[in-house]
Amino acid sequence: MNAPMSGRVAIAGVAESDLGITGRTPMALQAQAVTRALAEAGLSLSDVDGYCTSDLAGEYAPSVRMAEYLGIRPTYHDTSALGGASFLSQTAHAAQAIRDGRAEVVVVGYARAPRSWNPPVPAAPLYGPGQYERMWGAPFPVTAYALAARRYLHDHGAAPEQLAAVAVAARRWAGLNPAAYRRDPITVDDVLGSRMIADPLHALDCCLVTDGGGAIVLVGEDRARDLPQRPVFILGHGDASTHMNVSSMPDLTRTAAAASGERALREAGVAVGDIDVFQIYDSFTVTVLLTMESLGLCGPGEAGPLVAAGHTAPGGDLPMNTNGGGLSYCHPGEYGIFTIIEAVRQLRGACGDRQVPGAELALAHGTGGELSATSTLILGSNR
Amino acid sequence: MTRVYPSAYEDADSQPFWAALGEGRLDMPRCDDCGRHLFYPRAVCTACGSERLTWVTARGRATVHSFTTIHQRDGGSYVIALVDLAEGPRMITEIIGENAGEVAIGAEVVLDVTGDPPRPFFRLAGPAQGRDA
Repeated sequence: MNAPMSGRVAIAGVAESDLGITGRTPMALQAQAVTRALAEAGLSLSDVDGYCTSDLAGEYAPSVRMAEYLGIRPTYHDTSALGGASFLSQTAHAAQAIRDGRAEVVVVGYARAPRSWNPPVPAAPLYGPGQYERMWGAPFPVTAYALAARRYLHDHGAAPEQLAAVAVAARRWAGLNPAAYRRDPITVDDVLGSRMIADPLHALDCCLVTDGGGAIVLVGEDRARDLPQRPVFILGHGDASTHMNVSSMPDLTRTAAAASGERALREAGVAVGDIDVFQIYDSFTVTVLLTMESLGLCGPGEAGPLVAAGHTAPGGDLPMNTNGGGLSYCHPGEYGIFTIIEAVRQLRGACGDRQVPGAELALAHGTGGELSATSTLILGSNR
Repeated sequence: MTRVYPSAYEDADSQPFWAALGEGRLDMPRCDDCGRHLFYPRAVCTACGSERLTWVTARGRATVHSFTTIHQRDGGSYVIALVDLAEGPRMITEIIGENAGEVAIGAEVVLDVTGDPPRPFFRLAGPAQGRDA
């Protein structure tokens, strides 16, 4: 095992804010999540000396703004921005900061409220590299994911049923999670019969749009041993990007997960086959299939049949997105922090009906932009 | 069906692109040192790092790499595609024409600069389009 990432920093607290349609602001939701995560960690705001977030109501210096809202004065800040993957990256940076002695209690927070808080934004003209995609007025990011999904189906002679199976598995897990936004069972036919958005992606191939926030609290191992929650250790991490705009994506069926996953697994000294539970960013159904293959869970074209056969669903041997995922549980825009929260809860054995028995090693994986940037974390409870 | 095409803020990187469209051309930078065509337009060559770039006109031929039909809430639809230009770069475009719905991966398409302001649409190549190569 690689010495610099050998379980010296732990996640001591995790929490969500209110979820769904909350009537609250992004600031309020982020504050809720932070104070709840600190409370379960047995800590308080006055203990926090590091703060990380990628976004606060779209304004610059988000960690500074949120620290002010919380009334804290951090001496460690991180606003690393990889879209939905940001928080996994910030968690790894925070672990390094704690190991280096630059901080003792670091919080990673996030919230958005797209169902409740939408101040008017003046329409800006197209500018920068994005203008060559946005000039067509097509909806993004779904158009980008649909282009990748079409190519995936074409390359593997696969049918949209394989995409739909990802949504069905997510909903089965959501049925076991009281906090999930949509819990009623669905079938492949339900997905294929839902409104077509961007062929081959239907409405039920797309993530939810909900309010929600999350927070995690990191401390050094020694301190974690004195706190109430079973510590979950950060064992490995990798970041990678391959492009921003989908027209610059080198291979529409292979994501940066190939690089970020390989780095994270190598750092943790484990193989993907050792992982007990997977929390994989599911902005769209296709995101999961491409990520499974890029992480090396299976070969090209094999993810769809694996999901369709139930391997990732409750009772399967590749339990995945056990909270119901962005497809059925919660998706405020940058879902990545929830992959960490659920991984931690699984490793604590605290997931009730949806608990994966004996889970000791988890992989959490975020994807940002248009399949653009990824961040992978390996978390463990027993190392 | 109503389509909304956002307007662009033309800056030093993009002004030659939009100006050429106004004259019916799709232009892009080509590296004077290594010959690589660059799209989207940039200030440095992504292959060799050179800053010596010259704007040139694309032939207007491309091959479809992937596509999606966008379905609008009111029942309208249109086709967005990733196409590989004959010069090498890949770009996003809209496929227009009566037979746009017949688009397939691997299909040959031809440039059709049209609209106000003009944009680089493509059409399926072939005699049905009434366009020569």
